[in-house]
Amino acid sequence: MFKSIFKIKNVSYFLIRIILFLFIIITATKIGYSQNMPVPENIQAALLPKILKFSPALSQQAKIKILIVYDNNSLASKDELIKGLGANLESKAIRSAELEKEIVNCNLVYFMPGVQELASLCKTHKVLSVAGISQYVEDGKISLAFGLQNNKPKIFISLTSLEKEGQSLSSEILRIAKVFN
Amino acid sequence: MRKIFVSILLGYSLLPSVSGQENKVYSNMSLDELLNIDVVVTASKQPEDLFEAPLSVTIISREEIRKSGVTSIPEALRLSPGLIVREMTPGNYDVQIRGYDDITKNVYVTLPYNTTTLVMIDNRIVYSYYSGGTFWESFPIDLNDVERIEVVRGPASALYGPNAVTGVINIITSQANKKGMNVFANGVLGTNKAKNANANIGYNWNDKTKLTFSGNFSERHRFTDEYYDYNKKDFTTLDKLTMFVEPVKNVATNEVWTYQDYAAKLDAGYDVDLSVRKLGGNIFLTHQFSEKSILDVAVGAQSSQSQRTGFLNFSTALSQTESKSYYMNSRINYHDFSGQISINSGHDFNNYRFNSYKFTNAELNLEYYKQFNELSFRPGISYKYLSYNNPVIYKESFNINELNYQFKDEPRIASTYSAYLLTEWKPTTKLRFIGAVRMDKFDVNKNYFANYEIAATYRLNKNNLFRYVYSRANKSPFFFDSYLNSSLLVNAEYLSEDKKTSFPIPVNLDIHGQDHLKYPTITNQEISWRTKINSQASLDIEVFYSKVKNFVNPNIYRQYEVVQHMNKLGVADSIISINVQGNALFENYDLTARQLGASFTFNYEISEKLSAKIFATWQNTKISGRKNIDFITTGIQMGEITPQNTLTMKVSTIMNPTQWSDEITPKMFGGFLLNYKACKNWNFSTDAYFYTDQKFANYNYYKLLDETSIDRAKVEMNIKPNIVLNAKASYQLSKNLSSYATLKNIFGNHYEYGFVDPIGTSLLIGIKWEL
Repeated sequence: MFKSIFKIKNVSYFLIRIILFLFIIITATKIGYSQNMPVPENIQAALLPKILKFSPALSQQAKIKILIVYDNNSLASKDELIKGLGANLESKAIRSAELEKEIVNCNLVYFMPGVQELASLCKTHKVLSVAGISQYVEDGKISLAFGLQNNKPKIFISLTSLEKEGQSLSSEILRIAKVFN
Repeated sequence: MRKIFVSILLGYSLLPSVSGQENKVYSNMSLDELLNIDVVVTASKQPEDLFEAPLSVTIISREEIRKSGVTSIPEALRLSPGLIVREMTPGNYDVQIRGYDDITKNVYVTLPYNTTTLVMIDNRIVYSYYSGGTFWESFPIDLNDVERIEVVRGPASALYGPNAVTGVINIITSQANKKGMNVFANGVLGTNKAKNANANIGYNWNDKTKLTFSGNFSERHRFTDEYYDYNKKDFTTLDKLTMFVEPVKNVATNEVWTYQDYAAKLDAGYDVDLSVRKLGGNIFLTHQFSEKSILDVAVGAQSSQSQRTGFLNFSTALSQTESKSYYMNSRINYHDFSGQISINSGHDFNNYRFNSYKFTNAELNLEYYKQFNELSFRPGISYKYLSYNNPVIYKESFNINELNYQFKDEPRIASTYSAYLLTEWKPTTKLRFIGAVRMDKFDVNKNYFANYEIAATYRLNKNNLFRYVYSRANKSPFFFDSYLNSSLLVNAEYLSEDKKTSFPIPVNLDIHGQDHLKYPTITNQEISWRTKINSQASLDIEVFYSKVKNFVNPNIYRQYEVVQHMNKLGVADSIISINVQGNALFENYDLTARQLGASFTFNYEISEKLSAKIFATWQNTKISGRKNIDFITTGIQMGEITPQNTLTMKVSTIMNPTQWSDEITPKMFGGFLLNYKACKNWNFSTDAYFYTDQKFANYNYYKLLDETSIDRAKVEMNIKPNIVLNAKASYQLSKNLSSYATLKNIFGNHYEYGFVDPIGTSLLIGIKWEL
């Protein structure tokens, strides 16, 4: 059946041009990645400060400092998130290698997809961990995450992880979130 | 085009103060408002806030479907604004977006059947390329498989490919969403022998692997045993049905086929009572190898039988089709690349056998996504392989008079090659531009087809958004239009000038498709305002103006050979014989259709217990150009007077048997959904769908010999304005078990589509178990 592809000269040229075009686009640019998170970054960025008001410890802070850990696959996502956070939180984007050094100066860490394994440092340093993939919460790796339910944003919370990080959230937020033990 | 680019750039340049502003839209929202945002993917191929979607989009959610009284996927579409959903026979629907119902049809299929909306299941196109259209009853899935339905109104071929002329309907399936075992079972019994049963059983391994098996069965029966007879202009039983178009059975005697002989020869039986019966099964498997690598595979099969329109039929509007098909759909995401391969194969066997065909469709899509700070690109390529096997499209002409229906191993094969690019630019947090362009090359056609879309949204504040869209989309070639090859001998009636004498004239037509045509193409502009009136109420208003060109119509080229007797004065005094030979050729046509319209959707969460959604569309369609049937004499050739005082005259004519009307689309249509959760256990819901009057028409264009024959060849049926009202009460018996009762079409018998069945009231009782 695929013989017919090669029968038509014009079409072969047409395909070659398309492949060349794609090749140029792909190779001429550094790879960016932002597709895994079901809730758009700007909505996550707006949700996060509102949820933190339900944290007895963090709501007392004059200025909450957030680290955003990213890799080459999440360059654009990281920028979108920082833009969305604006002046609500004091944000700083760092690479994975810098986390151990920087974590002592922050109140919470947001992990982009792919770097969530480093969240164990949050348990050691008693810092709240946040992500845009709900599965990390279900796995107990992350304390707070955002996902979709019935096409609407949903808050996911892991109580076990929260406890290990020495954090707590009030019952008002637990009532509207999907909670995992 | 240039004007639009200039106006967008000018508009942007006039907004310097906006660009410096911080994004306050979402940060100004309350937590409740943020958690109430609907996220949609079909409008720009990535998750986004429905309020910010650049196109006119509606989500019909699983929750909305379950609360309402709808029992099938096409019926669920009545919960979206801008859709014309007509129930032809119980359980069989024709679904149109905004209109152009009668205008963009295949003119050989004389009644409207939508060929201008692209329907997808999980991005797999479900479309018949034989003569166009979506056969809803032949879906392997049913409502139990649906997570949500995303409806895009307006052209979207630049995003999704040809045939998204009036819009896109993307059905997104649901798969084992919670960890561990997921079970759903639903059974319904109703009056008029209605039955529905569906079940899903799935397992979710830690959200990494999900496996679901689903099955569905449904059956609906007609409220009548009669069929429309175009000659009698009334409904009649099958044994009294007559032929509207009468092919000659015996050339020597000029005897024509009677309906009974014709049906017997084709073995064209009807299961008179049955409207639709469908059985489907699916297996869905999703495996996440890592955060960035996902494999999604679905396989399934279906078997269905239905009575509906959408087929060539010489006697009545309804045909019976038995369909069997199987599919495989596989999607892979790897980092920023995504690919999709789908195969669908099977047959649609019609009781009028010349409509029957076997098919295999295969499609491959590859996409790449790249995002910079304010700019993103999504280039992609697509290849489509289509194979259709039907006797009327073989290289050897099919003789409709002999009805020598026989499948051969001679499928027609066509391929399509496409390339597209979707870009998005957010110069400020409030302003967003989306541009998409797509080029399609059909190997059956020498032309390249370009579709594009430019959209701009401006979010004034968290409660108000304005948007503008300019887009263009075209239909694809169909096998019927491209390859039709048949001959037909019919008798037309000659009526003398004094109307005192009449006799039959044999008309022999060779009917041919054409491959190098342009196809109906729409250009559309729309402006819209979305507003959140308060935390409970929102309003979406859209105004659209569109134009369709490049119509395809079979023109009839006829040559009359008239033998007349001459009197002594050399004047013709009587006609001895008339013989007509001709060709029917599919050709592009000088016609333009324009539509102006507006839609609104009002959502109101009146209280925690009570919610309402009201929507309506007004539209006005006008056709201009060569819209009337006309007869043009292109040549007259006089012979010599013979010694027997006869004269032979040859007359060449062209006739355009246009059957397009702008009176079918209702001026107004819409509906509402009202839901009341009375207490923990009881839920009450009522939904309604309304439309204003519609005029259906059908011509026997084989009888069209001159202007005087137009009225005789035409049959009309008016559809009165109507409201289809349903009500549903649900009771939660236990944590997993619930029961419900649905009263459908409370106002009783009515017609929604011309020349077909009345739709009556029915009561359905159901029970649902969910783990």
